[in-house]
Amino acid sequence: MIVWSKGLGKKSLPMELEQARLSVASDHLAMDGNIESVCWEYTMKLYPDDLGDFMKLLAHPKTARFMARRSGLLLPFIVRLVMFAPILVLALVKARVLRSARKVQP
Amino acid sequence: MKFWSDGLGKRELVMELSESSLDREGDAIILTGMIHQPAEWAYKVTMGLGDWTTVLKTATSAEACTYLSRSVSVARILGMGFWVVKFILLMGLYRIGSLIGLVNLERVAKAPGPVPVSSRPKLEAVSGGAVERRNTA
Repeated sequence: MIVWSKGLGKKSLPMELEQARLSVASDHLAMDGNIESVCWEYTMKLYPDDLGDFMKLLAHPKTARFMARRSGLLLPFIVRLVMFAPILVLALVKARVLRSARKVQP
Repeated sequence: MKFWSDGLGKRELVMELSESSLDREGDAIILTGMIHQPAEWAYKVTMGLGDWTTVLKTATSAEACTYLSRSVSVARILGMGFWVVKFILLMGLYRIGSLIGLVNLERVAKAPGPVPVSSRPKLEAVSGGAVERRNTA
């Protein structure tokens, strides 16, 4: 991924997202890594709205068409999603139960 | 999305992905928009196939599962699910369309259009010049 902004002047920041470290904070999902060309650390903080927006961008016909060029991408994603969905449901139930249990405790 | 890098000092760039516009440019998807903080700056994010693959992996990672279950409402997760299903259907349709030859997934380059006759002598003059030089040599 290459990020450029007016504030960076002529410099653009190439980042290897595949090598980024994922971490969970209380209110965001963080991706940390290093921009090798300038040896700068970077952090991308993704909030709930951003995750939704990323999914929306992913579902844009231009993105889907672009990604459809590579074979062997869709099926592994569906398999991962099928495995992910029940784990997410269980995690959601667990989080809700724990939250309500904390509320009950004086 | 908040983006920070060493080069930005203490500043963080706040990008509203919902306001960004998306376009395909060669082997990448380009997201363009405006950063509202710390200043009104234009931004451009170039995302290749590898980056989108990482987005897919991140979306189904253990960290995403933990974050979604702890900090995101069920309604929002269902909203994300809708976009994921749309993406799968679209990508599936494009893949099938490509396999049976209905869809060309490579961007179709703009046809250059008919070359005006008046522009042709320029090329001929160059090749003529080369021939002429060869003859004189």
